[in-house]
Amino acid sequence: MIVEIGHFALVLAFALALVQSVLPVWGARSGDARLMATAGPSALGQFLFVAITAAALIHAHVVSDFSVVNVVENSHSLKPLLYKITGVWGNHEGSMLLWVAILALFGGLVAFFGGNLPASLKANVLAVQAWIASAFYLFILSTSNPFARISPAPIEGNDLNPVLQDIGLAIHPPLLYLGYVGFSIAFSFAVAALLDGRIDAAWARWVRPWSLAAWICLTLGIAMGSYWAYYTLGWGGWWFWDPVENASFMPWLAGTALLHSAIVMEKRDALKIWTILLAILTFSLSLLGTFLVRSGVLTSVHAFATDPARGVFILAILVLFIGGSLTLFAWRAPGLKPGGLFAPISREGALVFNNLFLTVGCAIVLVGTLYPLVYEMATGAKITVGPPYFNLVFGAFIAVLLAAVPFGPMLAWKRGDLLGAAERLWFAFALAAIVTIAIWWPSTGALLTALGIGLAVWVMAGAVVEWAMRIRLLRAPLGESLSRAWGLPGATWGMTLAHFGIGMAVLGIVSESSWNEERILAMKPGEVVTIGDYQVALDGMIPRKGENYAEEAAHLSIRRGGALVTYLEPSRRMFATRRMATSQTGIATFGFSQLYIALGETDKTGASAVRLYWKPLVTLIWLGPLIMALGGLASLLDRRRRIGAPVPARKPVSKGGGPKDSGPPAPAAPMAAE
Amino acid sequence: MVLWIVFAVMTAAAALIVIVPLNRARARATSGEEIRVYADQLDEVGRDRDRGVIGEREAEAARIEIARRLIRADQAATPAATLGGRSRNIATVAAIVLIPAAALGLYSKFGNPSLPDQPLADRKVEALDERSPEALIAMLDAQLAKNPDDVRGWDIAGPIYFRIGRLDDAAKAFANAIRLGGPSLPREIGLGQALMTTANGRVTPEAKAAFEAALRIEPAFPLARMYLALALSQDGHLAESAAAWKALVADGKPGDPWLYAAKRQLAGVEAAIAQAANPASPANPSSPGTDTKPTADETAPTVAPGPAPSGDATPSPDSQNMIEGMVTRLAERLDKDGGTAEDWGKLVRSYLVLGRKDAAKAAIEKAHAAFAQDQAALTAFDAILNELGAAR
Repeated sequence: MIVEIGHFALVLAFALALVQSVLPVWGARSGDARLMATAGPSALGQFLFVAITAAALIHAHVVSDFSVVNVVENSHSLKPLLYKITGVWGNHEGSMLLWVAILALFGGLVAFFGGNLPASLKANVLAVQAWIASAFYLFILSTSNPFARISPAPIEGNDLNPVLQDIGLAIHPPLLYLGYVGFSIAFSFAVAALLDGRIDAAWARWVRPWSLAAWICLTLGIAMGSYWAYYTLGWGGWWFWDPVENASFMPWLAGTALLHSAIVMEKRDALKIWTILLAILTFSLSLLGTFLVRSGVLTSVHAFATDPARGVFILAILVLFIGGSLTLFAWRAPGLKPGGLFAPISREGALVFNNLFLTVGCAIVLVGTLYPLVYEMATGAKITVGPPYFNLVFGAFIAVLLAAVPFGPMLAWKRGDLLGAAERLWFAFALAAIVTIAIWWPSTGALLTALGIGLAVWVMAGAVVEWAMRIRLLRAPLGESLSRAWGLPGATWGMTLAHFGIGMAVLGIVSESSWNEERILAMKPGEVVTIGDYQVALDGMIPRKGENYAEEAAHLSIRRGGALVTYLEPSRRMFATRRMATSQTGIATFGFSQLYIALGETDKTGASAVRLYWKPLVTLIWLGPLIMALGGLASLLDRRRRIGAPVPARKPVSKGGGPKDSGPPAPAAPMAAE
Repeated sequence: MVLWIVFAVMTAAAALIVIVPLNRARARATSGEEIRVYADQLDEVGRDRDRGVIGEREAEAARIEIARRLIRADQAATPAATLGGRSRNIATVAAIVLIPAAALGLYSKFGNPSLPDQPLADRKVEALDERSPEALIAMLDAQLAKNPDDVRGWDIAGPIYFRIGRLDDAAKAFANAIRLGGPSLPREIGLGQALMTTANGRVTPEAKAAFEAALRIEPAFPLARMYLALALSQDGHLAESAAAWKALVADGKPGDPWLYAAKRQLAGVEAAIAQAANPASPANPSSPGTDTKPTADETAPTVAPGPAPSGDATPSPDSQNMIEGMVTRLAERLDKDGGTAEDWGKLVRSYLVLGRKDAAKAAIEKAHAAFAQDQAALTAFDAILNELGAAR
């Protein structure tokens, strides 16, 4: 009965979404407050019913109800409880349900916390949410129903793909979807604003917390996914430019641009068209990612579904929403009132630069991701666009942006002073230059590495210098600096942390890619191998049994200068039901660096293939995003209004003849915001 | 019934979610939320100024800009009205009709209201014989996963996996049984057949090894000899293959189920030899070795002990030698290492087949001597002798 109640709740959620798609828009058009007022309760009701649906499916998985096809195909009675639960979204149908559940969650949150929104904006936003939701409910019900039944029920299930039987599955997809789907709110706000024809600084203020929350989750989700791939695949790689990874990275790039752009809009009433466009693009890229992963057009670890009917359906959703919103944009955007003016060299100008670079960077990834698909469609031949393309093109491009990052916060709103900013950054520049030369000098040839490390130091030092200036560190008594630091708004802390975090990530990436050591060899018990500063001895092999697998673990002792540091036990697990093996890597962290050991097959002579890696500063790759997300959180918790005080015209304004409403004082070469 | 009541309640709740706000007496009809944002921003400017985050001149410029936005927002704000009853009535009716209609319509298409939940814990009580074969196989899988050292389990699993087409698993099961319980005729034959079927009927070197192992246990076992003969022709050793088939046919007695297949194979191989010698002659439509795949009966992995080749057919000199060689080896092994009642029975039967009655008698006596201390084995041996019709 519980299964069918869950199924019925899903159908009811769809029915409510249909109602929510129509009534609020009708109300907003005709100015009827009561029709608009149905939006909030419908959104909350939708969430309630989807929650019932999700609970029913989780229940079916937990009690191993093999009369549900989804449970048969993805569960096993011997699977540990955690994986019975996480296995719910470790498959196509369940992950689509997670998708709509998070969509409904965000709709419910807007309904709940949206009391400060104008009624018509709220009604339109929730209606647009309901359009998206309706499309996906229909998709789930007609092509990917998680409640399909089978009778008579099999006695045992096929088990979950062993690669997915990991704590990563409990964290990565929900976080990633919170990010992906969270950007639907920004999308809905953008479409609602276009419908209403009114977009102003207040709009940006309302969108800010939603896009920020989505961005935090996406940042954490991507970092978590990367670390999961790193420790579970056994090859020490942490980013493969796999289309599935790109599918999550592209919305992140666009979403990052959106965040910056929305700040300008909230503070300065400028960059409106940029912001609307980025809101539409970000979610469009999320939809594209969903299409790439869920339709099965790719064949990778992530693509579980290979049903063309599904692909065509999602493609139709994709065309409808991206095409529809862009058409609406093209139609309504020219009618938007232009916002504040600013000079090219100004905080606004810097953020336009940032938007441009992030958007083009996103386009570079998009081309690299879609080109093989288009090529295959056109010629039938398969090609791959490998990491060299991405590393070279995207890397070089984004390096320019990173080099510019420290300048942005140094520039004043409206009209800035580039030379002054450069002067204030001399310390950061000197530090970066010293580090670059110190690395490059002893080892000629490693210029690129030295420049990369220098760039990372530059970004981090730039963030610290900006922060130090704000609290007048070393220029005022320490007490005053501390009290200033305490008084710094969360949003400012957020920026400093986020910019520092990206520098950390770059440091980790450059260090790991340049100084990574690798040994692959066959080891017999008793053998010792040296990697980095460590001696690794294979003490012996230990067979073990888990609940649903058998494993062969290698017991390795790690010594440094003869002194025992730690033990590692990487293993190979054999899963009987799916007859698949997975690798459990052994990782020891020393400072920010890691010793990474993966175990391969054992041959007849008793020698085991062992892959050892020494990865200097590798954890910074994930700690950086963690710090960035922390910065996002600091900004999210900052409930204050954001204002951007412009630098007034150079001539002091006399009391009597202050600037009237006659427009801003003309800066040199004024530049329209849009 | 309970289910439908729950559905009705849920549907009613969904409809009410829409209807209640539509008919609430005082719908919220405020406006001016933008104005509040800008007013807050103005306050924030003051606070920033007080804390010294921005200077007086910047604060003044910011105030002017925000005030400009505030005025614009104030002019744009139009209070939302609550219109009359018509649209509200349409919406209410739509909610009452559309929500249940859509929900029931879709559910009747996709739902299975008659299927109860079947959590596994409730189903363990099902009687064993009520279970489907799939269920039993799943139990077997689980049992073997739990106790991978269970010889009996592997012995049972091998033929079952083979029959349901899980050939890799079948081969693994037979190999595990051999590893854990030592070689036996059914295990070796099963392993060989599983390997061979996996290879689409090709007798791979591994399969060949298994059949040879089977012949070491039961030297005259026809099925193993057939597969080995097949292997010879598959490898292109046509003359040897023909000899092997001839020996088999010679050993067969009318009524043996495998005899017909063996004769056809022999004909095929001989035709192939003839064709190789004289390519001009019309080709045999069927190439040897592949045309007569072992029939379902022959490939059945549960190996019934083959009927003893009787002395009716006169074996060719070659095969006579081969058989005698095998029998001699068996006799030597039993003399040296001893053996089970079955082994001695095999030896006696072989001697009778070869027509060496004296040797058979001697073997019976030797066996009795060997089993003097073992009453159970003695009884078993006598039973075999009775079957053979061999008098003491």
